[in-house]
Amino acid sequence: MEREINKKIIFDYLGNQVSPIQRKAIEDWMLERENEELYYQWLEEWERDHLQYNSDSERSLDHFFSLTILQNDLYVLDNQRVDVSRGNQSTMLWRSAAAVMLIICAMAWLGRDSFMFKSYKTGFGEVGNYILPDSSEVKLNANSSLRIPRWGFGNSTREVFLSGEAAFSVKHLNDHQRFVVKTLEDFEVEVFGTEFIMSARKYGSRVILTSGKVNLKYHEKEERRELEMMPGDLVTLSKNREINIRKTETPENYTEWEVGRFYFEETQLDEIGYLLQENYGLEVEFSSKEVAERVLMGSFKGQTVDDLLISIAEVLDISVIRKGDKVIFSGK
Amino acid sequence: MLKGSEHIKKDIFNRSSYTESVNPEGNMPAHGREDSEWIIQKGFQESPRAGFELLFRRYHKVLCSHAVRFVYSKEVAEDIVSDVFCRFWKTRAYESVNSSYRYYLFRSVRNEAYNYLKLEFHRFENLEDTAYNISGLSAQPDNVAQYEEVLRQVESLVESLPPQCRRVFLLSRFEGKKYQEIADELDISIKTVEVHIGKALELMRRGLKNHWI
Repeated sequence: MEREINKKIIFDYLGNQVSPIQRKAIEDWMLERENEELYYQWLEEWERDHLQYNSDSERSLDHFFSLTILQNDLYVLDNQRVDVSRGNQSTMLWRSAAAVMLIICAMAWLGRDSFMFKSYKTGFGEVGNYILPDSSEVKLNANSSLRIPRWGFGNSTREVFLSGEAAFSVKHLNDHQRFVVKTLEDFEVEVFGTEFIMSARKYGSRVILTSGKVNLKYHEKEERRELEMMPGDLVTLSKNREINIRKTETPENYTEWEVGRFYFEETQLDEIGYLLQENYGLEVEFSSKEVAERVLMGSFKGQTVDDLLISIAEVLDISVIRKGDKVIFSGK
Repeated sequence: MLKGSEHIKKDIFNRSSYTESVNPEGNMPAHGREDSEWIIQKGFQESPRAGFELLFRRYHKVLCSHAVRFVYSKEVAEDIVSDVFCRFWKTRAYESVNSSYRYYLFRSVRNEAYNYLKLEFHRFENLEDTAYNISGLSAQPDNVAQYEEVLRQVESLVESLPPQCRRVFLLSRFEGKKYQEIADELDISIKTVEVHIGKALELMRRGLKNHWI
């Protein structure tokens, strides 16, 4: 016995107005592909009557075309490069180059971030796993964001922008394309295909190389510097821009946040305070300077932030009080 | 009877039947179904750009609205919809889809929205899981109902937030406002805003835990 599924029933279904029995019947009905087609037709109609908000479609469309036209022009330009080597169409090339520049300027001016860039974000206490269009993998630690260009990522360069902390596993491409991670701090990492962990937080930046090779670019006293890192190297750039290079035997410990653990290698409690602030949005205070300067070492489990706070307090034999978003560490 | 249903089937699955049934004056095809995609189809015959503009104008708003009911963020919803249109354009899908454009667009947007939610809220328990799940991320619900279920769950989770928490969550996530702006608007501290957001996200994560494929 087949129940008749009509538009009204589907509208009721979309408005959560059907009984579980009806829902089951509808869901069986939708398994047929032609019914699924019909379902989307009614869904479109229903959605149009129940718009959640009014997106600016015209503006998005304009952006879309300014960008695709740009891409087509670049494509034309690429083809003409061949002609130029034969040496006769250089004015044509310059003309299109100028046109492209004009469009780029217009776009930079008009450009809305969400159309130009794709962002990956995590909130406080969240960890996210992402796969970039070039198949590189990224794990974002709490309160971090990674922005990649929506257009042309992986065509000739791979440039991403990091704020916060992330573990990268960069895919080596056949054309040996660089992968560049930029940060706000005028501190960037350039690789071809490798694994590393990088953080760019308010209290400083850090890079730990797990395997492969990494080129680090930074500024020191107004001077541009470059540094080549080897596996196991740990480079930190403090907020007063001092660079420090160490070796670590266990680079993998630095990604323990991926599995809800925290690893500290001789870390002062006040530094951990920054981390709690960055990752969980907590405001951390210490009852005295001595407490703030206590040093912590080892790996801590922190499925929840309270677990982590308790294990820190236990190890240092101090007490911790949390009230909402305020945390106070004090001597016993 | 059998013949009749076959005719409808053909209309649904075979795009060329649209063109066949459009008469030279460009009037509505005679198959009686309430469907105006043939106009878009005609647009694509004229030029890809003309067709694309028609397609975009027709579906952009509804798709954004639909996507936002999954992800609860205008910015993310528009991102997802942009992505789908981009892919449609780059792969010249308009030349090859043999379903309706609507079918292609809705399915893609729902897939992307689902994946986004999954990546955001699915917490992996241990490393092996992570490795496994990353390779299996493309695992998709195999029927329409599973998307609806996630949609319903998201909606009831947001509904179940305490009023102030929901207000903050929507201002931040849906409207994309900065914490500072929300704090000013509601006259609360930034920290309180952060606590509300953290609470809402944790609730979402827990509430969606058993809904992943």
